[in-house]
Amino acid sequence: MKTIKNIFFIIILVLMTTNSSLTGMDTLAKVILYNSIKTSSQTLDFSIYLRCLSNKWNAWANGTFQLELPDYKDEINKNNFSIEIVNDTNEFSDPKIIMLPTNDYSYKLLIKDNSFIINIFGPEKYEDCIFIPKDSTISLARLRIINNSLESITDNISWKQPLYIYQACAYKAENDSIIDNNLLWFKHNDNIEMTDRLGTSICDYIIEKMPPPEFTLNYFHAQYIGNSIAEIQWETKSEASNNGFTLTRLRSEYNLNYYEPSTLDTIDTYKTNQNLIGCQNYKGKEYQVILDNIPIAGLKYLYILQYTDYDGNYLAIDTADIFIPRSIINYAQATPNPFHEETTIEYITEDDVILDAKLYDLTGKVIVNFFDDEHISKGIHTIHISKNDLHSSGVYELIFIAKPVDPAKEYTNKVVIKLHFLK
Amino acid sequence: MLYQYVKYSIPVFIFLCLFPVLLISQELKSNGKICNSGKIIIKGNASFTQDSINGTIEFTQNQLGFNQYIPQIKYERLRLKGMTPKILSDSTKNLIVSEEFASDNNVVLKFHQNTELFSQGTTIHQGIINPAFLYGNVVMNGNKLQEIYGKGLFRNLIIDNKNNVIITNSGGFHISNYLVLKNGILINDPNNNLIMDDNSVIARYSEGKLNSHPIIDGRISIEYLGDGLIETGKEIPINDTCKAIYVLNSEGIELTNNINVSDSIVLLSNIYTSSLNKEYSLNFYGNGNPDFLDENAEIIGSFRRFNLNNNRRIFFNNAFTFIDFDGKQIENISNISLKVKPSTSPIHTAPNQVNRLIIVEAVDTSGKKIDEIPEFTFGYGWRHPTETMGVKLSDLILQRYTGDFWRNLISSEKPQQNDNKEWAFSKAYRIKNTGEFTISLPSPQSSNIFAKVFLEGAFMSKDMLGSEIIPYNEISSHYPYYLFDKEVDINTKLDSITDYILFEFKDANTNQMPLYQIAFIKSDGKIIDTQGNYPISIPFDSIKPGEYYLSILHHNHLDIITEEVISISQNSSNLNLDFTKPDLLLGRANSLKLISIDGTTISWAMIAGDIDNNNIIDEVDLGLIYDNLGNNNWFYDINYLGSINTNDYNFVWNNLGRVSAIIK
Repeated sequence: MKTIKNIFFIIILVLMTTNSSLTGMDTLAKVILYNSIKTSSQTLDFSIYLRCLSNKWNAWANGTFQLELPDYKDEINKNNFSIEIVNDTNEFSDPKIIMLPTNDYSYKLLIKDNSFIINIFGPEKYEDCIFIPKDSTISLARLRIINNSLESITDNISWKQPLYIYQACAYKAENDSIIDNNLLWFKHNDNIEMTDRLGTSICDYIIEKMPPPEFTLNYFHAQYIGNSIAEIQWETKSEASNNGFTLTRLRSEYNLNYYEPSTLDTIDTYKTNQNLIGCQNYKGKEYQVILDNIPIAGLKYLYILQYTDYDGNYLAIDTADIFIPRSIINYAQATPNPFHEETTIEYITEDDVILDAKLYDLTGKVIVNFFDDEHISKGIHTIHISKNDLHSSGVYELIFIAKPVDPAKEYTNKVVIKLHFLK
Repeated sequence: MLYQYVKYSIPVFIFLCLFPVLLISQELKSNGKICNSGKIIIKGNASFTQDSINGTIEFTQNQLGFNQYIPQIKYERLRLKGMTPKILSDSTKNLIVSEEFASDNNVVLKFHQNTELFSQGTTIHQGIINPAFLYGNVVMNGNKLQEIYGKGLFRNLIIDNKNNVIITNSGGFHISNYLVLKNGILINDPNNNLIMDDNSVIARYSEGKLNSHPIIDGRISIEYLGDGLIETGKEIPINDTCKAIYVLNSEGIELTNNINVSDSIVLLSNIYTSSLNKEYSLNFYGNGNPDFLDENAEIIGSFRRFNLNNNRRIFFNNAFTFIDFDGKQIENISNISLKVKPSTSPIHTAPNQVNRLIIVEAVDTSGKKIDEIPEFTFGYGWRHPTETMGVKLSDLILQRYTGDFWRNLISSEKPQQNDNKEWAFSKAYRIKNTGEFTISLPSPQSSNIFAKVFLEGAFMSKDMLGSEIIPYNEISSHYPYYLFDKEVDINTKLDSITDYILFEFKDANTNQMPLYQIAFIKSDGKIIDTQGNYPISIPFDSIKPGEYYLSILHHNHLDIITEEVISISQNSSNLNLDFTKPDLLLGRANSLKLISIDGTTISWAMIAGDIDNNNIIDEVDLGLIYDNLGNNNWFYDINYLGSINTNDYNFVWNNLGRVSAIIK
């Protein structure tokens, strides 16, 4: 009996093989579960691509794609998980990928029987379907699975098997198909499955995955913008397993070459600032500028950029240090000096100041009053003195008195420049 | 028997001449020849040497204590008068009267049982013949119309005149023993009639008959004698019961009216109970059984028996047909009749049947027909080989017609043959139904349906049962399967099962409530029963033979129905129905979906997508699929892949607007 069964099986196998070769069945399309990637500890993003491999069709109708997370057996249900469309269409900027026009296609996403079910429905008419030339690829959806429990999600995702049961993919018939004897096989606008009724798929279902992204920082800048405020900004080129950033700061005396750990302050963190939540992707991100209000001038500060990976580890990426000046006019010089016709005094305020600037003769008499406790912003400034402003040759004194804008800060900076006027 | 009473004599002639009226007061003894054209009145005894005498001869002795002996010659007119018994003493001679035989009302005529009185003219009988004996043949055998009348008593009156005998003058004579209607008509009527005394017998030959019913004083018996087939006539009492009936003629009798028999029925030949397409019944009230003097004799037609005996075989139409209740209580049965139709094919035929039909009918004491009676053993016989029609004798069994088909009665014994090899007979046990019976080779008891169909959605799908995609324990809760109101016994180990279907048999003639049969489709399209048998064998108890439109109903495919009537019978019990071909179906190709082309073989399938079972595929069906995406509900799962998805949706989409040829 067993022998008979074996012979029967062989005959069936031969017949099926023969039949397949006779019909010349070729692969019409390839559906790709593309690049599933954890975008946070609880989210897993992936794309579904459809690649046309045949000239026999060119308009995609609809499909059902069922996915499962093998690491979660009997745990996938609507309470524990959710699935949603990711509308970030710029995720990949590959111009070869055609995006599915979401105004013509609709989605019905389900979680049932331990699987994620993505139903996509297209237009009723062939003419309204998206046109997919042979060898082109269309992105059917960018999706996100969210683990609603506090556990980290796995990135082990796969097509639910057997494929011919759980996956469906259909194209739209362009014309009526009339065969011999005027038999109508299918008609215009029919949806033609890419899986035959014997369960033999003429549509491949594969998984493609890029190498995981590395964490690459494009830049990390910190600069003093005056008024005791430092501006910190950074941009990533790609991110891997990044829950989010944390920005900290150390300070030190100007002449010291180390930072005292006890001075560590957390400036900002993804735990409180959503703008600092990281991701895992290949294109990076320019993060919003952080402004740090420096409490003490005259010190140097070190900013440290860290991120927290999906395992909770803090990883330092880069540092940037700045000096916050105590003397707020740190440069002043007249050129030329001595002078005959005029001279230009260039001075630099390292911070916004309340500036008093007056030209005195040797008797102490104010010859020219340039500023009388006026607000001057941080930067490079100039003052011009002409021979017409002076009565006679001699030595004059230009005295700058800069005071902090914040009256609470009591220190005052005074700079004196001696000028020689020669008639 | 009649021949015991019928005698003929050889006359002796004596020559004597006489005057017109001659009174002989003493003895008349003639050695010569008396030529008489007048009347001779003889008051004493007389003797003649002549064989015949003309004129009128009157024997008138009127004195008790004497006998007046009547010479046994041929008279022209013979008149008997007076109280003195008139004796025909010569047992070797008959007495012949050519013109008139008359007896007065006080005349007693005695003669030997071997002697016969031939009255060839008018018979006027007021007297009594053989008062102490039941014999004494008076034969009316003239060659012209004869009259008979008088109030006298005949023992045996034999009518043997092809020119008939007529009763006149109000008739009124009695016959105490036999009226033999041998030839000609005894023309009687209600006003000129004879009286048959109790226990008398009317014996008929094929050439003799009565014109009208006689007056019957008590119960009479009827005998049929001679050659030829005899149609019964006025000899049968209208409302009275015959004591006995003897069918002793060569070709039997044909009833022209019902006959009730109280004591016995004796057959040497057949009784046919139908005539000119009229059915009559032979009703028998006797406790005994009919006496079949010849095994070939039988009652062809209806034979009803009353006073049934439950302790012995109750024989019916022939020597092989009986019912035996074997002691069971049958008090409530008034009568049972068997109508036997030999050499007759049943109206509802089945293959290989013997040409004999037996119809059993029972009536209870309230006069109501009853279909079931206590179990009995049924003995049956048929003429072999003439009625066997070449069918193998040893395999024949009894069959009963259920009203729809012939049911094989498997308790039938193997048939035997009688000694002269003219009959085959057997018996069957534990019969309890009345109705039509016949003898036959075992007939098909079910319709074998070799059917094939494909479902578009589940084309060639297999092992749906094993994979539990289709249910096996709640099928009866789903349309259309709940229409099959019998318990469904499913062999859950069956493989290659695609799905259930429901056959609907709609009677083409009555359009009555349809009958249903649930079944499986295999992956190769064959329709098998729920135990895995192919073909589906549907007992005629479930789907009775007849003409049907056959539909296949399904829970999410459009129903289909045959265009032509499908005939189910025991003669054509195998039905080959290929529902994968449009030609079979109403609506032809519009009722199916092209599903497969394999070389020159084109297969069609039932159209998928009628989820709401209204036989129209529309947006409602599409919506039902959409709402059930992701479920594994078999009812919505069109492709039977266990998960409802866009593939199922597309089946509906592609068939939008399709409708079944069956309008709901």
